[in-house]
Amino acid sequence: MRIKKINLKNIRSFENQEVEFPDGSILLAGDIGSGKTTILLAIEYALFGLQPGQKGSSLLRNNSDLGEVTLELEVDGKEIIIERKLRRSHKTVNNEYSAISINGEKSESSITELKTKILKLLGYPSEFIKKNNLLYRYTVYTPQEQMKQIILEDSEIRLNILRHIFGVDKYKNIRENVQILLTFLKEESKVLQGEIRNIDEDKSTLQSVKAMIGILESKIKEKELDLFKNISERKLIEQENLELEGKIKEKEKFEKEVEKTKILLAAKKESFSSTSKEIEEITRNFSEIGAFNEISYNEIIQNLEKVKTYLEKSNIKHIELTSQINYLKQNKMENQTKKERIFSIEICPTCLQDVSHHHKSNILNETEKAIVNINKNIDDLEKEKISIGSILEKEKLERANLEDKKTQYEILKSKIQYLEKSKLKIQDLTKQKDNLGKDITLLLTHIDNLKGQVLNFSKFSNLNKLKQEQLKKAFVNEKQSEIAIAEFKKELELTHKEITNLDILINKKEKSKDKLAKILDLNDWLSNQFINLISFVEKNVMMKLRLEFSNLFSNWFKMLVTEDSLQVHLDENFTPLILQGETEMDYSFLSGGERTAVALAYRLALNQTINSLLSLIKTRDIVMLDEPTDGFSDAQLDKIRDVLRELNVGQLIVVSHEPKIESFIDNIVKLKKDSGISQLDLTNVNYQKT
Amino acid sequence: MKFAHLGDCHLGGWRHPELKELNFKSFQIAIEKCIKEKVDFVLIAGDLFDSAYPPIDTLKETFQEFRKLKEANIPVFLIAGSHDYSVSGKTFLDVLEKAGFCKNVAIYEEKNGKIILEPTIYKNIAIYGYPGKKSALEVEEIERIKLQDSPLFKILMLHTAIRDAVGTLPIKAVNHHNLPKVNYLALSHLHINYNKEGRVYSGPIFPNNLSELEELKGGSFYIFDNGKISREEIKIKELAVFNLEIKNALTATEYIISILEKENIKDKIIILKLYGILEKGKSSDIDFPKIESLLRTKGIFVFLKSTTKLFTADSEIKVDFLNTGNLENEIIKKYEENNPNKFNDLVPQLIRVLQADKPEDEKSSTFEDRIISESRRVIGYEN
Repeated sequence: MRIKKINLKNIRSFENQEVEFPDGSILLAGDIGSGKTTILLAIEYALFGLQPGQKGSSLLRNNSDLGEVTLELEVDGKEIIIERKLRRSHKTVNNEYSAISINGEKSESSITELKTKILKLLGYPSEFIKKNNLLYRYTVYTPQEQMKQIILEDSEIRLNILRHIFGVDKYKNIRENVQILLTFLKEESKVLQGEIRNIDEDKSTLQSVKAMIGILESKIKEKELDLFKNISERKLIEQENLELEGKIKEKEKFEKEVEKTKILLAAKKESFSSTSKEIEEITRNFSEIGAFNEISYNEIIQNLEKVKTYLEKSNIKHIELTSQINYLKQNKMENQTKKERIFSIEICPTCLQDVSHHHKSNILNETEKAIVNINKNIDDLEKEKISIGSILEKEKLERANLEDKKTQYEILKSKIQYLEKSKLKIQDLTKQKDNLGKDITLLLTHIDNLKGQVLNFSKFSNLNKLKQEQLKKAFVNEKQSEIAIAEFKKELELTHKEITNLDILINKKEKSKDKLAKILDLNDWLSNQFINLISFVEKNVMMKLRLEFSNLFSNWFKMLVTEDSLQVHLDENFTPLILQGETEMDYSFLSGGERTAVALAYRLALNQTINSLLSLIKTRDIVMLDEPTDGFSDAQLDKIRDVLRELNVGQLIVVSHEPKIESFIDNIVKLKKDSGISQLDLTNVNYQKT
Repeated sequence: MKFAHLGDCHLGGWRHPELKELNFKSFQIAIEKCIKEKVDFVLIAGDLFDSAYPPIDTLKETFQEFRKLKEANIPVFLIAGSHDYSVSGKTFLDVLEKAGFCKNVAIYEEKNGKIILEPTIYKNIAIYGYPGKKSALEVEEIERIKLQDSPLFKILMLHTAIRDAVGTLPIKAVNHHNLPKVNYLALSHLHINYNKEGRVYSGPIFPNNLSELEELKGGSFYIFDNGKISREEIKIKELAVFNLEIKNALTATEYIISILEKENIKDKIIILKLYGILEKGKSSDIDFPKIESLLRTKGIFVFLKSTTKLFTADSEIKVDFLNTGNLENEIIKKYEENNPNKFNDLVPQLIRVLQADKPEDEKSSTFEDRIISESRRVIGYEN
């Protein structure tokens, strides 16, 4: 990787500044606070974004709302431009935009995407995507304040970090994960042990079950013979029974015939008796009915006609009287009304003159006379009406009487006509009766014959009952044989099935047994040999790393200090041990320059170790040193020249305010801060030294 | 004539504050002794400071002592040693000299392949000196030394090793027979007790490291009093050294405590040297802070430990680290060679499957199911 150019807009003390990085070593020079470190921080930010715990506000220029870093670099011949923007919103500063362009092909990416792309470009292991970017921090750029911190860090924490960046912590994972596998294998072996339990018993069971087959087969044969015998027996009985049933049917036919004949007989008897009764009845009627008198009958009819004529005349007379009486009553009513009106009148309604009392009395007298006449006439007419009424009643009675007599004569006449017909019927009936009597005699004889027959056949019924019993028994025997055979066959089938199942089971158990053996073998190997191997590998890898690291550390340190008696090396926890002669010494006993030397040597050695371990990472040829000579004596400063030469990296970026360093480095980028704004100091700078 | 011969003070050398203080205190004692003995002058034969640029505190205190000598009218003559020498010539000794507290007597010039030393004359004495250098670079140069002759009492100050003193040790050393004849050869550099025919190693003012502490127990310097050369010992703290063999690092803490507890260690320099091959645990399993805090409650002066002779039992596998991509495979291969097993073929795939890290957004049960099902595929145990 080569850093080509960086542009900072509103980043810390920079407002808008482009810084180019020529080939060779570069010194970012300038007074304290001139913005040297900002450039290194900005490079880191461009590459990896904000680190966990790093606040955007630590990069964004105060009072600015939008900051921007554009970094141009070259990786494996590819031209890469990374852009990132920070925006202030409310009280926080967040990533606003990030994009990468590779060989001119630009794509805006999310922070994670960008990180993934860059890690891929740099050949960093992918596990660094989610983690703090320790690899870069430990190999390329360690901020000034962190250099010594690495040394003073709790040894366990440092060791964990180193294990992580060395990739040695994978052995810890392996040890942990192998436990997961072992637990699984243990469970599996338990299951398998359960599965193969009783395998020997199963085998002996199989043997005895196989022996059962022969026994069952011979039993079935035996029972089949029994069945055959039973069937023939049963068929014989059935044949006999069939014959018997024919006989019985015949007997039943006779019995039915008897019954039928009995019914017929009863009917005949019934007819005989009813015929006799009818004859008796008709004969009795003959004696009861008298003779019919034709003259009396005609007399009655003539009288009846006469009465009817009288009755009609009386009726008319009665009606006339009634209407006369009604007329008179009407007249009487009119006169009475006239009388009352005259009596009350004062003035004549016609002439309108006062009516005299005399006149009134005259008129009243005349009216009174008329009324008396009318009453006399009514009385006469009423008397006449009553006498006509009684005559009318008499005539009605006579007519009813005559009509009764007439009806009786007519009934008699029709009865006599009917009797005439009955005489013929008696003849028929008598003939019929005779015939019935003959029939009855015949039927009685027939019944006797039939009963004789029935008696003859009833012995077959008993025989049949006996045979039915035998048949039932035969059926039971047959059924039993069949059941026995079925049972044996079922048992045989089950036995065969059991054998198959046992075969499968034993087979499966044998397989499980093999599996179990393998698992136990593997389990043993994993929990002993493999874990030992991993520990061995880890230990040896760590040992190798430490030795290498320790040697490098010691060499760099030697190069950085003037004092021969001081030596450094690493203990097992990668903690620097400082020796004066053979006495171990506390870090705090060192001078400031020596402490810086320890930190720098550690840093450079670590860088080399990691770079040789992770030979694929693309940052292995770039190193950034931030104030590497803090506290150095003049003599130590002289030594830096050798160190920088020895470093032999493609791109070396040094931040230092130490003027002496300038003479050791190819290019100098001088920075200055004017009224709070950092910028390139172009005065008196030998930009590209030769 | 009476003078003191000091050397190998290594001021500012110890990093442990207590020892740094003892070191300086020893120097103070020596200076006090010089003043008390009313010596005529003091020689410091190199390595006054532990480095060319000692810490400010050390400088401050040192200047104060030099001032005492100055006030007592005792001049100091010195040379740079291998520690406080600087190629550029810039050392803090210059500052001392410029302040008038001492005189660097290493004055010389090269002539015809010879290095001619010029004397510094003080009273009736001619003092010559040649500085020590790093990596024994001075040895070859010293062998080319010639003195600008003087009839006076001659003292030569060197910071180097002489063959007679180192014996057969395979280090560069000057053959003393080749050295110019002088009345007193004031040597330092070797932290030893050596006084032979006017050739004297002052010994360090204070032991400079663990083994010196153990061996020398304290510091020393010499006083030359009219031909009589006597060694002045500076012993200011008792020492308690514990050499313990450790096999189990996991139980070592308690074991060490149980031993230390029995001893009278009050106000002593405690040196704990552990050695042996660890069969269990690693050296970082030993809880030194716990041990130290216990010792502190017992009132010890300082606690020094050394584990450089403590090794772990692991036999290292020889794998070419440069070929790191295969590091794991190589180690596995080695292991499998020693532990053949029919399942070994499964190792790479099992490692691949089992190294998975449970993603934060995945349920444990889902993760476990996944691990199991993938592992089953690998081990050929599928449904």
